[in-house]
Order: sequence, then C-alpha cells, then structure tokens
Amino acid sequence: MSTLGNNSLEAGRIYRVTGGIRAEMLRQEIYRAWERAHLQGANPYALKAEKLSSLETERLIDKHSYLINLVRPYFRNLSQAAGQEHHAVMLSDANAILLDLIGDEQTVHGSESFPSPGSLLSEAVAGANGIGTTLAEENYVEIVASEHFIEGFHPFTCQGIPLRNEKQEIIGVLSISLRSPQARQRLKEIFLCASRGIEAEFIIANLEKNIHRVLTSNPDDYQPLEELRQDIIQGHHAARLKLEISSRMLAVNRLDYAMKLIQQAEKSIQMFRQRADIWRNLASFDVGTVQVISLTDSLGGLVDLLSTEAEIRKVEVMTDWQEPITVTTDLRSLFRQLLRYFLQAFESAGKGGKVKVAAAMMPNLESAQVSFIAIPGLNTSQAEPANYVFYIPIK
Amino acid sequence: MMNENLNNRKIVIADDDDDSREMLAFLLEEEGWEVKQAKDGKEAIEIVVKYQPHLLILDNRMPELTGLEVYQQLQQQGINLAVIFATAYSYSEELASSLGISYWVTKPYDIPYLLETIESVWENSVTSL
Repeated sequence: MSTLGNNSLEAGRIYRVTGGIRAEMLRQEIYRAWERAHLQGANPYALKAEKLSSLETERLIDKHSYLINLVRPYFRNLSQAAGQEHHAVMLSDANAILLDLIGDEQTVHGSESFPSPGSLLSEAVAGANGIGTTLAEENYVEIVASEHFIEGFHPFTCQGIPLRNEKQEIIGVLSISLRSPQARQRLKEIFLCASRGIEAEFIIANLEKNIHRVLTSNPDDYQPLEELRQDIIQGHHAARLKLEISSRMLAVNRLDYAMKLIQQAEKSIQMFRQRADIWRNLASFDVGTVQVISLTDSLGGLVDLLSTEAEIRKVEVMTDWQEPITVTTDLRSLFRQLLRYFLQAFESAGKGGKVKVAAAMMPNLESAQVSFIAIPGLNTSQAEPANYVFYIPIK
Repeated sequence: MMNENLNNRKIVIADDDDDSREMLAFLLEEEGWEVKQAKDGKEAIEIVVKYQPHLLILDNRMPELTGLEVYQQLQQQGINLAVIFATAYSYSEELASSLGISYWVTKPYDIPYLLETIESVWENSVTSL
C-alpha cells in the first residue's frame, strides 16, 4: 500500500477511536470531505441505507430519461474499457441520487450493500465518495481506497466528475469505481474524455433546437446554417468513434494506441466546442452587446468553421493579416456579416477558385478594413476577381 | 444485392471526413467485413461499380456528389444495393423516407446501434436473395 493509503488508513483508525480528523494525514480535498461527512453525521462503519422506494425511483429515472439515454453510449465505452477488471460506472442526478449503473456482475450484483438506482450517495449518508464529494467540490475528484470515509467502500478507488449542461449548470455526476489501482490509472484519461463527450451531447441537442428555430424565424438563413451545423457535428462524431475504439484497445491493454486516440478525441471535442460557440452566434438573431473583439481571431474561427464548406465547393481560402486586430462591435452581427461575405465570395470564386481574406488597420487607426477577394477558377464563366470590402470601428 | 458471394461480406464507407471513415472502417473490419473507403461521392460510385459490395454506408455532405446524388445515380444505373444513409441533417428521417431510403442513422450515432442496423440490413439482403 502507498504512503497515501497508509496515511488515510491510519487517519481513519484515529477518527474512529477519537472522533478527530488529522488534516496532515489526508489530501486537502479528502480532509474537506471527511469534515463535511463528520459534520453531517455520516457513519464511518456503514453506509446508511437511504434509498428511494421503487415507485419513487421509477419516477426519478423517468424524469431523467433524457440524461440517462444520452450518457449510455459513454457508460458502455467505460465499462468496455474496464475489460475484466471489477468495476462500476455510475450516473447520479444533481442531488447525489443514483440513476443508472453498469459494471461486472460481481461488483454490481455481488453484494447487497452496493448502491443501486435510487440510492442516495451524498456525503451525509455515504461519506467521502465519488458522487457526493464530486458534487460538494463541484470538481473532478479521486478517492483512493481508505480515503473513503466509510469502510465498506475501501476496496474501491472512485473517480467522479460533475456533468454540466450548456448553461454550465451541474446536472449530475459521472463516476467510476474500480478495485485495481492500475486500472484506475489506465482508465482516468478515457473517463475524463467521456465526461467531456457527454457535455458535448448537450451542446448538440442545443444546436438542434437552434436550427429548428432558425427554420421557423429566418428561413432564408436555414440552409447555410444547417450545413455548417452538420459539419460541426461531424467533428464530434469522429470523437465518438475514437472513444469507441480506444475503449476496445484499453480492454486488451493496447495502451499506447488507446491513449493516442483519446488525445485525438479530446482535441476533436475541444474543436467541436469552439466551432459550436461560433455557430451559436451565427444562429442567434438577437442583438448582442457592443464589446472589444479580436477581429483576426473571429476571421480565423470562421475560416476553420467553413473548412468543409470550402472543400465541398473546391474553393481555396487564403488569409492575410500582419498582426492581431481588435475592433469594437457586436460579436453576433460581426459573425453574421463575415459569414455573408464569405459565402458571397465562395459563390463568386466558384469551383477551383480562391478566396483571399485580408484584414488591416486603416491609416487613421479609427477603423479596420476586411476585404474578400474572390478569384474565379479556370472553368467558371466569371473572369474578373470580385472584391468585397467593409469597415469596422476600432473604438 | 450485387455480389452473391456471401463468404466475404463487402461494405463500402463513403465519407469525406478521414477520421470518421477510417475509424468506422477499423470497427467494421473487426466485425468481419471487407471494407473499401470512398472519400467523396464520385469515388463512392466508382468503387461500388468496381467492387460490387453488399452494403454501402453513405454520408450525405460530401464533395463532388452528395450522398443523395450518389444514391440517385446508383439507382439510375440499376444498381440496387442496400444503402444506410448516415447524416447529421436535422430532418434525416423525413428526408430518407421521402426518397424511399429504408435505412438511415443520425450522426453522431451510437456504434452498437449502427452495427445492429448493418447486421439487420445484411440479414434482410440475404433473405431477399
């Protein structure tokens, strides 16, 4: 057992004898969790059997069916990645009530004391644990063996991470419990990646709502926005496939390949989130607030968002700016305006054409100029380059 | 069904996104399929004609020809192989049914669901022989 394990084991023994918690023997977040558990009356010897009735559990599961279904593919990935290890993957709501779990037979059904849907796992009831402590800390936590407040949980090492919706509200906790310390290290990356994948699913659902709204309120804008939305989702889709394969690789101990895929999946999810942010601005027809914005970053973001569109149209996009430029404007209007120019320039350039986007400060330093030069491809009827220019105030 | 040799189950994945296409190819090879990949609509038609697969997984938003155009051109050429239409389009169900496409999956799809769909399409194709 590690020094960390020895310390927390000894801290637990001292607590049970004296009722005092030795802060220096515990990691900070574990000490805080034990303090909270102690103050709320958790019993270190046994889990208090606080569980909803089967009818209440059924109602709660029904209420959270959307979340449960959304998490299921990731649940399966994590369980698959655990392979032959004893494990349980769990989902709770924001009140630490267990909604769903999956794992090997012996862990999940082998002991009557293992939590099941409807079990309350708050720190007041279950002490420091992967669900209650995660909610209390509002952050990722790892609780190793004897760092659990209650002895019954000592065979396990638990990791938990809060799940946040698109408004950044915590709507539940994803948690994994493993018996083997080696498995804990092996599964940490895929666990964190899965949690970000789940959060990306909320964003996707939101994009779907937005596109339906665009179709109703601004039908002329629907088609280009729908196509861009599909391109954004493609990035997340690739991440999902990578998670699926990495979970299979982890199960057979092909760690290097699995880690590489998980890192790629992380990048895809991060890129998906950035693109979705820009897309939301494009799809929002509300007026935003005037603020200082990086014009060059906005242009770069749009070029990235439009990369598939450019590829489909066979248009090459070139950018030209010497230094970062900031402007003072409404971000949403700026994005919408830039998108219109981009699409117009793509149209003028046609198949095999080029679009050169340049941004520069005007000599008077009061405004910035953005120009789009569409250079038609060889086989298009239009021979002359088309030039679109507009100006944005700097202050 | 184009190819009547049922020992080698042949499938074509047409998707312009390299990552998605290659990952899916990896998974299907693990499931025992012989996989060919097409990175655009034009290539999809060429490969289908030459390779005669049992099944085609068709992304919609691709360069050269869209998935729908590929589907229509294959039908015009009298090639009636089983097609699973994979799209992130928000009205994919309506679109697929309006075109008489029997199988579709909405991206991001659940992998076991896709694998189940592929198996069921495969079984239907075999029984309809």
